[in-house]
Amino acid sequence: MLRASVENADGAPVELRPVATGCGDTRVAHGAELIAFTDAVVLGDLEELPDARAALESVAGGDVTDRAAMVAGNFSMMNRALDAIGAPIGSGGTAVAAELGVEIPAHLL
Amino acid sequence: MSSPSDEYERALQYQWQHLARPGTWWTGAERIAIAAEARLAAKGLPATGSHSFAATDAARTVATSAASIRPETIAAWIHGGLDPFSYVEIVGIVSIVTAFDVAAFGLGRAEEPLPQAVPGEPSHKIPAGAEVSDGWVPTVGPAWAPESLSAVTDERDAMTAAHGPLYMTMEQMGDLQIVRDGMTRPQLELVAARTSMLNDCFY
Repeated sequence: MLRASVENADGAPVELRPVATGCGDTRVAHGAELIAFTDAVVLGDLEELPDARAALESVAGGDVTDRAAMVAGNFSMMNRALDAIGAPIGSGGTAVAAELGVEIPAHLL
Repeated sequence: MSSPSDEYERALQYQWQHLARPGTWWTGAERIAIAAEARLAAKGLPATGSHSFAATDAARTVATSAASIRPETIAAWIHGGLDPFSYVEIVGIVSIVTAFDVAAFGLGRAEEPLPQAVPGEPSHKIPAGAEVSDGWVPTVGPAWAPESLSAVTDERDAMTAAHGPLYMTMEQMGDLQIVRDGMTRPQLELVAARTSMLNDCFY
């Protein structure tokens, strides 16, 4: 879904590696601010959150920032559910993992 | 048109009412105790011991390190007295409470107090066709995202009900041009993917 979703937005290529590393240009609008905000939210970083939130708000607005928080919440839910029940990863996931530069653990294949 | 935070509030109220009611395998009080245990674990605080070791350990592990779970981990919990279906309900409770806690933190909201339990007994309903297929616990059909909690229908439905307001509905998933509150699909997926990386999740 990740690769299909980002490919079809406007035809511009998207770089997935920064999703894994946390740094670099994703070529997604406000990608750096979105990643910094997501990091603060998911890691529960009280120190980083105010600045990360202000930075994203300043470039994308309050609604985008609030939506980003809710998406991070949703995937924190989905991640736990899928990992906890041992859902297998399909071939599409394997391809995206390679593009991200990460290796899928053997127990999930 | 409602704001994202209005949508969050409505979804939260729905989920907290669901959390408080008797579930399929746990009473309302037990469900809230499981949620409380998950919150303690997420804050690095010790367990209360209000449940069996297996149930407590399952709730805390799903909350803090779900990616570390293996078939043997679940087998050990089952050996410790945890029924596989009641484990799936724990997964649902913890996952949903985590969703709203993580979102609340990003929204700058205070942590929502857990609700008061509604009295009553669990239903013990097992849906037709629930069995272990390609996952580690029973599911109805393949163990994929929309059906990950399908062995406990009410938890599957609650997760679906959270998915729409927090991210997008299952029907909207196929719309690659969707924009939510100004967020384009690539931006939505960037946050989703980064969240999964931080949680060591590969789905």
